[in-house]
Order: sequence, then C-alpha cells, then structure tokens
Amino acid sequence: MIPVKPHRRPGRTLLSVLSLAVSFGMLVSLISVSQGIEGAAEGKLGDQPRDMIISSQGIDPSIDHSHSRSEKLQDDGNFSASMPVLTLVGRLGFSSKASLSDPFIHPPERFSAPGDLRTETAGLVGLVPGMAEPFISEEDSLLIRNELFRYHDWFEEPEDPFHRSNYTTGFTGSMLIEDRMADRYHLEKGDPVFFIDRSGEVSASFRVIGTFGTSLMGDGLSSDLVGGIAIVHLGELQYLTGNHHGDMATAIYLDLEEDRKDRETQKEIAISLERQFPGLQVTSKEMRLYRLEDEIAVLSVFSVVVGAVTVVIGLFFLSSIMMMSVEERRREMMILRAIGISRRSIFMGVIAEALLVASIGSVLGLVPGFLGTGLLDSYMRSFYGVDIPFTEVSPPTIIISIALTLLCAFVFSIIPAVRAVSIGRLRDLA
Amino acid sequence: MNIELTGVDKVYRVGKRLVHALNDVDLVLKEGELVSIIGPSGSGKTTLLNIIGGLERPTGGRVMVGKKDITHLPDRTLSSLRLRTFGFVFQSFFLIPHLTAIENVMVPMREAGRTRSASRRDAGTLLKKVGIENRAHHLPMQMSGGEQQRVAIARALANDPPIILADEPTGELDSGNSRMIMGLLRDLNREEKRTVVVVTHDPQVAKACTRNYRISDGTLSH
Repeated sequence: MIPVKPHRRPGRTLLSVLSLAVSFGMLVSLISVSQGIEGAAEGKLGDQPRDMIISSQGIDPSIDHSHSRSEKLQDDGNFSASMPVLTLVGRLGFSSKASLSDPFIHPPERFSAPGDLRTETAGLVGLVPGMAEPFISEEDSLLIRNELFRYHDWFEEPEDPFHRSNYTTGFTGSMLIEDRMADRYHLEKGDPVFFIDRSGEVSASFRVIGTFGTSLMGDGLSSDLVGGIAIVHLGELQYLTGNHHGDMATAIYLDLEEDRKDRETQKEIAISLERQFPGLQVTSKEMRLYRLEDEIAVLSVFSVVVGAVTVVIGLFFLSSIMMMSVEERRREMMILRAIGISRRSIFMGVIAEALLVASIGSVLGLVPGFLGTGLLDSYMRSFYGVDIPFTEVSPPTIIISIALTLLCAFVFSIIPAVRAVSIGRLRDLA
Repeated sequence: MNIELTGVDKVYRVGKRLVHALNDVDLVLKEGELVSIIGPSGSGKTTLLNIIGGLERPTGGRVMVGKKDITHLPDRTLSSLRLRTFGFVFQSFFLIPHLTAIENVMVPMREAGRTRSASRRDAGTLLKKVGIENRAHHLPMQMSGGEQQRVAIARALANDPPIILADEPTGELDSGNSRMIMGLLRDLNREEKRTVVVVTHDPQVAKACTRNYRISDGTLSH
C-alpha cells in the first residue's frame, strides 16, 4: 500500500475532517434527541399503572355516576385501583390584593371581586385524591390525558366530601396549581384563586395548597390554549361546571390486578367494559403504547434520516475532495505505477486515506455531537418548562454510528480509488 | 541478465494521425554494460527505453529480459518486473512531492514486502551511498536538482535491480551535477556490475558510456 500521509496536505485534509466532524456531530445530536424522546415517552407510559382507560369519545364528560361506578369496578376483582377524572377548560381569576381565609362557593354578598382581578383560561382537572394515589408513581408523577404531572405537594383530604354530601357541604376549596401559573401570579400556599363561571362572575374561591410541574408531550391539557392547569376535588369541579347532575366525568382510569395483565385477559376485560359503558372508548396501555410508539417512530425515523443525510453530505464532500486530490496527483500516481507500484496498492492507499480522514472526523465529531446534545436538551427543557431529559446518547449508538460512517466512507472513496488506478498512460509520464 | 529486442515497432495514434515512433528495432544489451542511446528530441529514444522497461508495450516485435518474453505479459507482472528488475531514473526526477527523501526511497521497498524498519534502515544506507544522507528528512522541494536526482537514483536502487534505466538523467542539471550523476551511474555499472541504459541527447553523457547507439526517426543504429 502506498504511504498515507494526509497531514502533508493540511488544508485539504482539514476541510475534509471538519466537514465530517460537523456532519457526524449533527448525526449524534439528532439520534440522541430521537432516543431521548422515545425513552421519555415510553418511560412516561411505562411507569404509569394505568392499564386501562374508559373515556368519553369527545371532550365532553360522558361518564355518569362516575364515583360509584369507579368504586364498583374496584370491587369486581379485575382491577386493583380505579380513578374517575373530570377534565375541562375553564377560567380562573387571580388577585394580589385579595386575602380570603376560607374558600367559598358563590360570591357571598360581602364579597366583591377585587379591582386587579386578572383572569386566565386554564385546564381544570377534578379527581378524588385518595383514589388517585395508587396511580401516582414513585417519582410523584401522575399521567392524565397524556400530561405528566409531577407533584411537589398533595391534597390533605383524600375523600371527596362535597360529592358525598350531595354537593351541599364539605367544600374544601383545595387547589394544586401548575408551577408556571404560580410563578406568573406570584402565588404561594394559602393564596386564593377564583373560579369564574360562564357568566363571568366569581362563583367560587379556592386556596392554593401546593404546586406541580408538567411535562411536554401533552396534547391534552397543556397547550397554547390554556395558561396553565389546576387540580381540585372532583365533586367541587363537577358542581362548579354543572356536571354534578349525574356525577359526570371524562374518564375512569383503571389499574389491572397482576394476574389479569396477559393479553387475552385484557382483551376480554376490554370487551366487558365496552358493554358496561356503551358509547365510550375503552383503551389499554398496550394499545396506547402501540399508538405512541407509532407516533414517536415517525419522529425517530425523521431524526435519524436527517442525521444520516448530513453524514452523506459530508461524505460526498469528502469524496469530491478525494477526486480533486486524485486528479491533482495524476503525476504521482503515474510515477508510482512507473516504479512498479501495483494498481492494488494505489487503490488501497486511496481507500486508506479516506478511512483515516473519516475516522478522525467521526471522533472529532463527538465533541460537537455531545455539545449539540447538551444544548438541545437545555433548550427543550427551558422551552417546555419541564425537567425531564429530552436527549439520550448511548455507547452502542456511538459505536454503530462510527462504524456506519466508516462503511460509507469506504463506499464513497471507491470511485476516487478506481480513478487513481486508471489514471493516465505511463508513457505520458515522460 | 541480457536484454534483447527483436523487430520492435511502436505506432501511436495522435488524433487521426499515425505516428511510427519505432521501426523494426533490433537491440541486444549484455549484462553489465553501460550503454547510451543518443538521439534528438522526438527520435523515439524515450519510447525505446519505456518498452525495454515494460512501461509500454510494442506494437510489433518481441522484448526479452533475461529468458523472459515480456512482450505480452499482463500488467500485474510488468509492475512486478518494474519493481524488482528495473530501476528507473527520470529526467524530471519524479519524486513524490509530499514524501521526504527517505520515504521516497522506502516506497518500492515497502511495495516489495519489506518491513518498515528494514526499509528505513536500507533506505538510509542507499542515501548515504549516493551522498545525500544529510537530506534524508527533507521534502523534494527543499532540495536542489542534483540532490533530487541522487534521491531518485537511490530509489531506483531500492530493490537491488540488475538493470538501471535512465531517461535523460542529467537533462535538468548543470554541468557539475551532470558529471556527478554520471559518475554515480558509472560506479553502479563498474563496481556493482549492473546494466545501465542511459537515454540522452547530450554527446558528453554518451561519451561516458562504453557502448553507444544512435536513434533517429525511430530507427536504431550502432
């Protein structure tokens, strides 16, 4: 093999190495985003003991007698836990001047809305805290309608006393509020938050008892349409939104008993639930994972394809530079042939040079790759306001990426190598 | 190892025109001779040298190197012949520009299968032999013409070939360096009994050789 000394042509070598390093760095960053999102999505679902969901087909609450039906499902032997949930969009009011010691329903005559009341559309979640607790993961997170809530605090009252009293007494007014909303309105524990009814009147007040964070990847409650999310007792939200007639809810979440988790049994249970709840949607965790995997597969493939395209572009660049180099080194190739160097040696020399440059470029590309990964992760955490990893770089991925880049470099250097061995006629040397 | 050409023709096509570079050339070079082939520019002398060295194939006739008919050998075999049997010295030196002097000499050694360390050691010895060991780690552009030609001679000797083919070796050198280079070639012939064939247009160079041929318009005469 002819001697490979790319460092003796520093300008050209540097160009090739840099182009590959940048391309490879982008590939690593994009693959890390793809893997991170995939991992975050699967982790989000994977940890949640929410094996099945009965839900309304649309956005309106369609499950009646939600409290009693949830309790009954828990007793039928198939489920270890059940949780009715009501999710709506409503309006909340915030004031820096108001200081109310007790929450209320309907404005008392003595109460007048403070002059600085600011209102905002919010996602509202009603649940029974005691029934929701089995669904909270070890990391204090709860998944509701594809929104992951990470709790800092929790309700003191586990039951739903307002519902139990048939919506007459026991209104707790306890509210958990999302971090970003709390920050925006400078809310602390004990501060009041007002419920604004459809006529625009203050019809109730709540007291902030704690906050929570949300994840991205939600297409349910957290969106550009709402300024934040608030969680209250189910019965209290039902009453304020007129859903107390019939004890309406949007969904019932169910956790299967361990011995009921095989696919066949899940299928039978799902069919039974569809009969019990006609007109409603029954979904299992497996089906949701499948749908989610389908969605993130598209994102993953897109990321990998874009990353691969950048590497291919870098390799095209390398190949072009090598072609130019071979053309400029025509005489050198002819001299080598004249003094007895075989075509095979020349061919292997060109390939070796390409592989060397690609290796250096790939390894150097890890630096911008990791930097890019870190920057992307920081940006996405900041943009979505949540503290979950959006990127993931695994050693096998790096090794496979480097191996594939070298394989492609080999392929892209074949044409310049073939050109090198067929260059010129030896008699033209003289 | 004798070299024998019998009835060798070489015809080129240049556009639509046919150029008869060599016409029915007969030549016998005995082992250990120092021979010159002198002729003006365009006479066919370089073509003749290329055919002897397997750089080109004749259009007609036969070329024997030792007992081997190399006329129709495949390219791979000719490469091996050029690597081990012939040592080429060119007018324009033709060193690899991005390799140092010692690396240039090592190239054919490594191609012949020798290890890097052995090649480096032997290349150093050859550079010392041609009097240029102090420039071993310099690039060609850092050397004078005479120095480059000495490196080229060292490279030609890399695999200890029995035959040296030199195409206008002093063509780009001044008289002092020319004498020095011819002196080297003469020493290779006298002391090491190598066959040396020098193609030149310079009568002074031809004088230094023991036997001379004249070529004109592709026809060789003694």
